Parts: sequence; structure tokens; C-alpha cells
Amino acid sequence: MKPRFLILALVIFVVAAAVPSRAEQLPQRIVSVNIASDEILLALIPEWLVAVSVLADDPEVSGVVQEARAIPVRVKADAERIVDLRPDLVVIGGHSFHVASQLRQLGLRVITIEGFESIGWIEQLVHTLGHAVGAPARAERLVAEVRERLRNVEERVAARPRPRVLTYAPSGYTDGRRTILDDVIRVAGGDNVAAALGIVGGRQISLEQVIAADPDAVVMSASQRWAPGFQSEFFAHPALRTVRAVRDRRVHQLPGRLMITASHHIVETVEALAARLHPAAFTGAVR
Amino acid sequence: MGWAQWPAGRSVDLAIGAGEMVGLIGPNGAGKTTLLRLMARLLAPTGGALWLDGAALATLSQRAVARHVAVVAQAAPADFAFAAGDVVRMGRHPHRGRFEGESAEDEAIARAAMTMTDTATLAGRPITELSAGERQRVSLARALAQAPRLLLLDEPTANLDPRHQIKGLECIRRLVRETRMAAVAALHDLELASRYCARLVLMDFGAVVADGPPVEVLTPERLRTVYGVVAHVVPNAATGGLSITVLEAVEEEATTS
Amino acid sequence: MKRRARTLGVLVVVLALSVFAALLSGSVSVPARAVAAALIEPVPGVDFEVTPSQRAIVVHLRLPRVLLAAVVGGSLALSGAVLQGLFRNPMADPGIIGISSGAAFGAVFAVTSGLALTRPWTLPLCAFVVATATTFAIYRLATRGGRTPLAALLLAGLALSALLSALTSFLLGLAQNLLILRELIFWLLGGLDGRGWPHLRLVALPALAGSAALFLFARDLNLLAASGEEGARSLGVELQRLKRWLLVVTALVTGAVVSVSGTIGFVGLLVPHAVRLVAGPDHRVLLPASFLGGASFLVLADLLARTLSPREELRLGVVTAAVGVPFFLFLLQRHRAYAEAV
Repeated sequence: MKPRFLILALVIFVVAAAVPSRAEQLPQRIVSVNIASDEILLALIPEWLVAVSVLADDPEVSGVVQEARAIPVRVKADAERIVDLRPDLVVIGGHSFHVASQLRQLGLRVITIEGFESIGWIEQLVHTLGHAVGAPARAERLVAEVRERLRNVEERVAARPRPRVLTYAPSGYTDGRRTILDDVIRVAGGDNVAAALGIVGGRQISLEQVIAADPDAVVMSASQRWAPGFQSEFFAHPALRTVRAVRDRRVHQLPGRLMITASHHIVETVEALAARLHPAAFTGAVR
Repeated sequence: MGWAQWPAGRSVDLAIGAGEMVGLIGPNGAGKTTLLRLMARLLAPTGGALWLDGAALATLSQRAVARHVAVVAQAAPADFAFAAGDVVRMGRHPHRGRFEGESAEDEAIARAAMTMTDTATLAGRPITELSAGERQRVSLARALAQAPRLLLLDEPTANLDPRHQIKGLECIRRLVRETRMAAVAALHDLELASRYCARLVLMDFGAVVADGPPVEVLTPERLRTVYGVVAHVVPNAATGGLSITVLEAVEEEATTS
Repeated sequence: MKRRARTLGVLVVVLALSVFAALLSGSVSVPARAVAAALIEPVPGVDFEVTPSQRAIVVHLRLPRVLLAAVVGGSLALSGAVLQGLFRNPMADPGIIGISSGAAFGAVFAVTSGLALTRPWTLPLCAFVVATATTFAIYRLATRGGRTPLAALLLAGLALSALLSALTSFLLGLAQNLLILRELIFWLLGGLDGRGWPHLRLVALPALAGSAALFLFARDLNLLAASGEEGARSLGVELQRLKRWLLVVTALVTGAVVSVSGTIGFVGLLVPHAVRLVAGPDHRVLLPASFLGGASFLVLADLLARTLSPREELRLGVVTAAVGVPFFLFLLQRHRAYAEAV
């Protein structure tokens, strides 16, 4: 504990020493083109945010619909629009590499978000963004808050038997090792079936594999937007009736935005899942 | 000009001189078209060699051959709507360098070729709109525009009406006399062949069966053995050629070849 | 000759107007004066009424993309015209020599094998290499005894294209990452989104040099188109050498542009056709006119792709198909009417 504290102090010292020399370089016109950075930046420095992504207003995807109202402009991965906003920092998803490289060539500062591999990755992202916008202390606090709440959940589910959990999405996609949901399941007190099957990343799994794995619980998005009827089809499928999770009515639907979030809001996903996997441990405490 | 070659399985030994108009006759499949293509260097012989003016044909470039030898093929393609005049002017291609434009001389030669073939009025029309006979005459004009030493024609009268048949062959004969151009024409009309060609080469099954003046080549015996018909042959004073009247077809005998 | 110059002159003007119209359009509205001002170098002391961000948009985002559209469109149309003359078939287009299917396979392979993640130029390079290798393979398959019959070339092209399509579909089916899949499908449908100066620099030299080389073959193509293969040979055309050169240069030009733009259909097929209807079959005007016409066509198609829908950029291949198919049907109608009248 003590060495860690020292290192932390050192980091804060270095950052604090660096801050005055970087004061004139702190970005004051920040454009966020990615829902994860929308959520994080709105928590860190809403005052310097000039635009957020078009997804920020959609409750099925965004956890910051309310906070986004304070930001007037919406933007997507369109180089012209972004340049027109005269930003000094752009945060964009890694899959928009064409736009990102174009913006870099124009001399703009661009942070691309890539990886989406774990809760630790999310913490790192919060730190990176916090440093980039000159709010490392706020980022520290945010991460500490997240850790606190996660620790709370871990303690509550520590002694309990761990159900075997499978995430399932339209087209049969599930989340194996090195995904955020893999961490979520573990902290919430479950064992990820997909990881046990050796799956890495987001991959398709066949119905046969689902039946053979026979998970205790299945987690899916409640969103009807992109595959309406997906949930009811799952329940109605005759072959799946033999799966324990379906028999015991332990197919849990979480709000869409919680299933895809890659920000500190992941804490809500963990809490929501833990409450469903171990209801007895969470009576009245968490939603 | 001398030629000697061996097509597959058969050999032909032939010499064509300047100022000769030779009619190539024979039944279908006798090898007339093959012989013409060999002479135009569109085909390579399987044995032997061909010479053009003392030079071995195989050593000459395509362009060099094209400056001396012109071909009028049996059917003129008409996939694209080029103007007839443009097609005739293409005959000057072997004489021009890659980057040279058309000279006044080229234009004059092309125009003369069109006048000779009665195609001057067709100059501006697209070849896709012309009749087969008109296209044939345009092909002839193009060949003449090449100013060849040797003109090869494959059934040049096939699609033409009598007037243009006569005019075409007349024109070729006149050119042969005036410019010492040599012409070899594959003809199916034996009377026309006898009338315009001082020398006939009769082919059958890929070999030359007879070579000489019409009256010696087109005998009733030859017509019987090669064409399988009984015919009456008499000299025609009016045309200067022969009159051939086909009486009946010969009964098929067991073929040996 | 005068008519030729006039036709080309008109097409140059059309291209210039198209380019300017395309520079005026985008997701951000930039007034015409600012566009003009952005294109001129800033003179100290003179105020040109253009903000730095407007200049950045016009010069670094729009200009290279529009010029790239012109180069790609011109190259595809020119290649189509050359192949139509070579095959003496107005239905030929660059896909016939396997370029499209080769480039598609190269691109999909580069992405799904992870090679494209190492360096940004791996994808165009793979597309180009496989595209040209495909043409080479088709040529070798179809050539026997020093001769390349066109029918054999066609068949070999069909066979190899079918094989490559199957392999491409196979690779696509294996892809698990949805975002990568989306990128690949976008590439296959063609598009110039995100293409800038680096892409133009990569492609301009081979495409333009190759196109200039193709112009030199106009007379040979005239002979081939008007007189057929044997007729052209009898007029002094070295046919085998001509076929080889035309195939090689066309493959290089098309391979280069397709490697950046993805596979865009209809340009190589229809622009030469339309130009031939207006300007006639003489390749000395047909080739440069096809290039100019194709350039204008794709610049305008890209303009539509960018501005037609406010939500999402349309794929270029979709726009060219949307324009191409009605034109195709119109041509068919005309052909049928002609055939019935005769």
C-alpha cells in the first residue's frame, strides 16, 4: 500500500509540475465523436466541450442524454464538419481511421479510442482523457469512485456460488475474454461461459454450442431497435427450452446502453447484473 | 515474286509474277482461302517458305508486308460505325509512321481508290448502314489505297450485283496492266474468272491440279473430276472468256483421296 | 479535325465546371467566393475572405478528393474504351480482365488477414498486386503458341473472376469484427470517403502516365475495330504485341485506381458507350473524350454521393449504378427498336 501511495504522489507531482507549463496548450474547444468519450468528457470537463456525437441524445445508447443538452452541437465522423468547428482536440473511435488520419494531416490533435478490452482499459481511458484535457484530478476522482463501487459489489458477491453466464446478441454474438463484458461478469459474481469455451473478443457462437454449454444465466440487451423480436424469438425457440437459463427464467435483459457502454458508466452495468445474478445480496441496496 | 509452301499434308509450288492477274478456282474446301492467307502472312506454313520479291516472308515485319500486300477478305466486319471514307483512309496506315498525321498525298490516294471502286458517294456514311455489297467495295477501296504490289482477293464478287462485279474486276485488271500490280483472286464464278484472268490456278483437296490459261484449265474433263459436273464449255467471243453451261451433276462415286 | 477539337474542348469545359461544382459542395457550406479564394495562394496584405478552417476544408479535404474522382473516373472510362476496341465488343469493361475481382480479393485478404493493420498502404498495395497478377494469369491461361484468341481471354477472365469472387465471399464470411466487415463492404461498393492528398499522390503518376500511353494506341484500335483482327494484321498491325501492351497498361492503370477507390461499376462500360454515340467510333477522339467524360461523370457522382443524403454518405458504386442502369435500359431499348425497324 505504501509504495503505491508514493508512486501516486509522484505521478500527481509530475502532473502538477507539468500543468503550468502546459496551461496555454490546454484544449478549450473539444469535439467528441464517440459515445464513450461523450460520457467521460461530460463528467470531466463539460465546460470545454464544443460538440458531442449524434448518439449522445439517444437513450438506447447514451447514458448522458440529460447532460448532453448543455452542449449545442452534434457531430459524426465527418471531417468537414469537424474542421468547421475549429477544435483543438478531437476524440474519435478507432474504426474511423480515415477521418482520424485526415484530421491529423491537417495538424489537429486527435485521440483515437481503440481496444475496448476490459474495465482496466476503461480506467486507463479516463486517465488518458483526463490528462489530455488538463483535468487529471477529476479523472483520478472518477476512477476512484468507480473502484469504490466495484469493490462494494465484489464484497457482496464474494462468498456466493458463481453462476455460469453467457452474453447473447443478434446474429449469435457473444463476448469472450478480453472484452469489457467479460470483466463485468466476473466482478458481478459470475463465470463467463464464452471465455471458458476459449472465445476471445466478440465472436459468433452457434445455437448448438449454447445448448451444449447450458449456461445458468443469459444476459442480453433489452433494446428492440436493431433487431426487433430478437428477445422473443430467443424464448420461443424450441431447442433453447432445454437450456437451464431459459428453464429457470434466468435470461436477464439489461438496458441497451448498459450493454455497450465503454465509460465509467460500466459501474451501473456491473451493479445491474450483480443484482440480477445474486438478488439476495442486493435487496433494497442497488437498483 | 515466288511462292512455295507446304500446307498440312499437301504441297503447293506456285510463282506469281508482276503484272499477272491470277484466278484461284476450285470447289469449297479446296484450300483457296488458306492459300491466300498464307500469301498474306496471316498464316505460317508448316513446311517450306514463301518469298516476296526475293525476301523471305517470314523475316519481314507485319508492316513491311502490309506495304506490299493487300487483302480483301470475304466478309467485312461492321461492329462499329466508322465512316466509309475513314475505313478507306486506314489503308494508308502501313505507309505512315506512328506519329505522322495524314498527308495530302495520302488523302489523294484514298480518294482515287474510292473513285475507282465507285464508293466516293459513300464516303461520309457509316459502314454499319451500308449493304454487304457496298461494304465489299469499300474493302476493295481500302486495299487499293494501300497501293500494294500484290493484291489478294477472297471471293470479291460474292455480294455484288452484275454491274459492280464487272466494274470491280475491270478496275483490278486495269490496275494490273497500268501499274504492274499482281492480283490473285479466289473466284467461284468460273465464267468471270475465265473472262478477266489470263491465268487460272485450279485447286482441289489442298493441291494445285492445273495452272495455265483458262481454255487449258477449264476443260470438261477437269470440270467433271474436280467439280463433279457434266458441263459444256465454249469460248465466248463477246466477253473474251468461256461460256460454261452446267448440264447435270455426276453420280457420286466412291471417293478416294 | 476541327470537330474533334471542338468535342474535346467542350468536354474539358464540362470537367472544369464539374470540378468547381464539386468543390462548392460538402457537408459544410462554404460560399463560392471563399472556395475561389481558398484555391489561390494567400498574398500578404490582401484579405481574401476565407477562414483557415474553410481553406483547410477546400484545399485539404475537398480538392484532393475531387481530383482523385477525376483521375479514377477518367482512367476507368479510358480503360473501358480500350477494352471495347480490343474485344470489338461494346459490352466490355475493365472487369473483363479480372481487375475488379482481383482487387476485391486483394483488399479483403489484406484486411481479414490483419496485414492492413500494420501499415496504411498495405490495403491498396495488396489490391493492386492481386489485380495485376489476375490479369497476368488470365493472359497466360489464354495464350497458346504465341497467340491470344479473344474468346479464350474472355473465358479465362470469367473463370478467374468467378474463382476470386468465391474466395472473397469465403473470406468475408469468416470475418467476425462487424466494424471491419462494414469497412470491407464499403470498399467493395466503392467510395472516396477519407481519401486525400496521399492517396492522390500514390495513384496519379501510374494512372496518368498509363492513360497517356494508351492514347498512343488510338490508330491501332481504329484498325482493329474497323477491320477485325486479320484485317488489322493485313494493314500492318503487330497484333500479339498490341494485345499484350494494351492488356498490361490497362491492367496497371485500372489496378492503380481501383486499389484506392474500391470497385466502381458502370463507368468503364457506359461512358465510352455514351461518348461513342456522340462523337463516333474514331479512337483518336474516343479515347481522350472517354477520359474527360469519365472524369466529369465520377466527379459529379461523388458530388451526389456526398450531398444527396444528409444522414449518411452514399456509396459511389451505388450512385454510378443508379445512373448506369437506366442508361443501360435506354440503350437496350434503342437497340431493340433498331433491330425491329430493320
